[in-house]
Amino acid sequence: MRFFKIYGLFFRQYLKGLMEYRVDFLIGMFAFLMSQGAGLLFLYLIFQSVPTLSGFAVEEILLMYGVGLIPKGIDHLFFDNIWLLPRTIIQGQMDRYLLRPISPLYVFLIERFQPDAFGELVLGTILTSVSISRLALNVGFFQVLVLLGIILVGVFVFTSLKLLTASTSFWLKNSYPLMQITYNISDFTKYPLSIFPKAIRFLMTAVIPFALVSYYPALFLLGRLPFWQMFGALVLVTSLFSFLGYLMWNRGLKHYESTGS
Amino acid sequence: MEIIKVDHVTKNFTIYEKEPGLKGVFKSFLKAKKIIKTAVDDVSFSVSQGEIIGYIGPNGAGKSTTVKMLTGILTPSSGTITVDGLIPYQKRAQNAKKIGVVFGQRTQLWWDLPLRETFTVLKEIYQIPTAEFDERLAYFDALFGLSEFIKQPVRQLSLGQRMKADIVASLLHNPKLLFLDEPTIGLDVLAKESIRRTIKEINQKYQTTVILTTHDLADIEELCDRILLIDKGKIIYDGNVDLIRERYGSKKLVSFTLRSEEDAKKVDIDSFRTQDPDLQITLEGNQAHLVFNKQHLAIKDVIYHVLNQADVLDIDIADDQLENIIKAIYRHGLS
Amino acid sequence: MKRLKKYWPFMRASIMQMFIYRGTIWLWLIVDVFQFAMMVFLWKAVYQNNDVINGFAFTEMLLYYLLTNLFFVFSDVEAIYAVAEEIREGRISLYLTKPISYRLRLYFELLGRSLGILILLIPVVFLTGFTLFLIFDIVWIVTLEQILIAVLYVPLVFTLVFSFSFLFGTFSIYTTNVFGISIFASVFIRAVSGQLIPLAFYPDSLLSVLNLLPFRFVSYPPLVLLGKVATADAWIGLATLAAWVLLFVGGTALWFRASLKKMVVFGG
Repeated sequence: MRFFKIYGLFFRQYLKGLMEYRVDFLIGMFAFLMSQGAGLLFLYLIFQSVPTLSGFAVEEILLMYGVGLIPKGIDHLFFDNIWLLPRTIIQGQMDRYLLRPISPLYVFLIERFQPDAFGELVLGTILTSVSISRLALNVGFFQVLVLLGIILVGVFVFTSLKLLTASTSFWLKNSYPLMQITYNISDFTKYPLSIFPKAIRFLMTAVIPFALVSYYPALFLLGRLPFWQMFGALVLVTSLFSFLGYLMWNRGLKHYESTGS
Repeated sequence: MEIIKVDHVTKNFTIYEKEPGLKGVFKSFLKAKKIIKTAVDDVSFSVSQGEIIGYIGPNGAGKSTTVKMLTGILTPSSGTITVDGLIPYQKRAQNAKKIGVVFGQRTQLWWDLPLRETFTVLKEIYQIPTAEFDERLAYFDALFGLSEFIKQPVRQLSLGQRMKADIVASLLHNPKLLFLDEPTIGLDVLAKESIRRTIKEINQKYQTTVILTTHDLADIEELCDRILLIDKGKIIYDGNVDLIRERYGSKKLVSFTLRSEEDAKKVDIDSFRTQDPDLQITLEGNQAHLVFNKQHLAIKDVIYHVLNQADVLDIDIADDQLENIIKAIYRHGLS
Repeated sequence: MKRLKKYWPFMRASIMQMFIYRGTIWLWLIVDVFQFAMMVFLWKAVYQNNDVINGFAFTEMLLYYLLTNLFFVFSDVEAIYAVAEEIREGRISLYLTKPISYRLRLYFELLGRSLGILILLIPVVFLTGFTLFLIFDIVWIVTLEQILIAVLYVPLVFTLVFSFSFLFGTFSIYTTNVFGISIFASVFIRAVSGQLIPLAFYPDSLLSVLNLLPFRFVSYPPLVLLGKVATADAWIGLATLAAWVLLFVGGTALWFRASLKKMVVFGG
């Protein structure tokens, strides 16, 4: 219970800060929208010249893109602090979290709320709804429920991977490049997986499984993939990676405790 | 009652040494030279509840490493540590409930939260009952004048305010042990006084055991009953503050204020040099400062001698400062 | 020229710093190579059913992106961060007390940075290019004149983007979100310069607007080297760009002097 109480206290502050620093917030959100917008512009311009990409129409690609953006945005909103883990370790600031009688991971995660991510959430929702209506997809109660399920579970694909790569900093100190590569790969899952060779497809499905949040769900919504396959894989892989991420974090802390900073 | 027991604790760090330059980069890739640095070397001591211990030593001596092991954020390479019946690095969260830690140079508060909210968060984290929480907050408000700055975000506080806030934060849950690492660094005289007073009060009122790591020997002189001196990973002194002064502080400073500069120049203590070759005299206007070893020269002899030579208006006698004593021990070791 | 001599140490220091960080830089370059590889797959899919799109063959597109990545070193918006940080930390006042121009000093520092990164980038580009040539059987003919023109464009492009970034950097006195500003600026430049996608892909309506802006010249070096822009046009473009650069530099100078007071006070 106290976990919620504590988060409530932080969250109230974040909202207050948002109001105070309205300009910063708007600039941040706008900047993110712009960078996503560039990706959309790129897609738009390509589709001016070709009718389909690897057999997919533009609306279908927008569907993949949009569906993947929502869980990405939620993760970005709540768990952005993981990006600061390498720096925290390098600067020797990890001790603070270890001196409190509460899960260090919990305190570390709640310290940052990134409202810039609203840009991703808004865009993702727009793209998903627009493409669904343009494609005249059969979206009933079941599909909506599934979509919510994908979004909820999908958040942890991003979070667990961030945690997993960030935790390598306990040993490597500077894992930013590793984290950045992983993040960049997530950017490419807005494109249909079929454009990539088998090895990359495997990478994006099982190793850095962002495709499970965008490509495969879109296939399901387009009626080309059975539900249980898509969702089963998502839940399985997410659970595995969440477990690995948490494990890596704990191992990392143990290592930190035996070697200091 | 023994609250801390450190039993033959050693902490080794493995450092990989790299040769400088491009050659070194390649070499370290294949096989890096391992160097084992012993930060803490077979250290043993125990602390009773209610003691205020000063933990001093030159930089790199192993102070912070020891404190980190005591607070559970570092595990010893060998030996055991018990804090109030628990092994801190094994039961870290449980141990954390009983301790308060203040780092002088880094804050443990949340930068963006107003101070009051920070305290409320800590109330939840340490699960402090509301009545007790309010009472302690009022207590510290009286001591530190918290209400003046409690509404401000932590990042806007001055150094003095922040330090006080950190101390309050570390004591809100009435910990049995308080670890202070340079709590008065960079503060003005009033703030230092205020903090020292608080620590003394808390110790007397609640029997809080205090481990104080500091370079400010005035802190030690005011607060500590006992000092632990660590150098190169080994404890070289464990005992009373007064004892160290008695045994190792053999210097006496006597300052004479004379009627005039000419009178000051008349002071001649060369006859004492055979008894104490380290005898020093410094002339400053109409003042003459003498530093001598009281084990070699009797104070009355020196004073009597000078009184006979010149017109003395005033005499100041002081023991050698703890600082100089410690300096000498750092340099020459105990003898 | 003699006046500029005193800035040489700044440039040299930056180049050396890049060498010190070469490990980190190469790590980031690997990230870039990976992204480049992904782009290759993407374009391969785009060219599945077409040989030439908007005047670009598949192999030309690959070369275009490779060259763009190379020349991109001179069009990054790093100045935004540098200026914002120096304003924030009040270091501007420090520089103003010295007998050197604040802007020129920063200019040469960042130029050194770009040169340093370029030197480290060259082997990576070579390797990538070589791999591309092998896999896709690319044939590419370049004339000396084209190379000369491309090289001449570089300092002008650098100065243009530097002034642009400098201006944006000073906006940090209005907001603390420097990250946001720099994303905005870099995305903008990427989109209107042809780094995101060759400008030939833009609809005519948009192109007419983009042709009024000087940022299209940022992608001229790759375009010239690929023969997409005739050398005659390229020479004219060089002169046009030079005029724009003078305008930008002059404009930033005026703006800087006007807002100097605000900036110095800000750092406190």
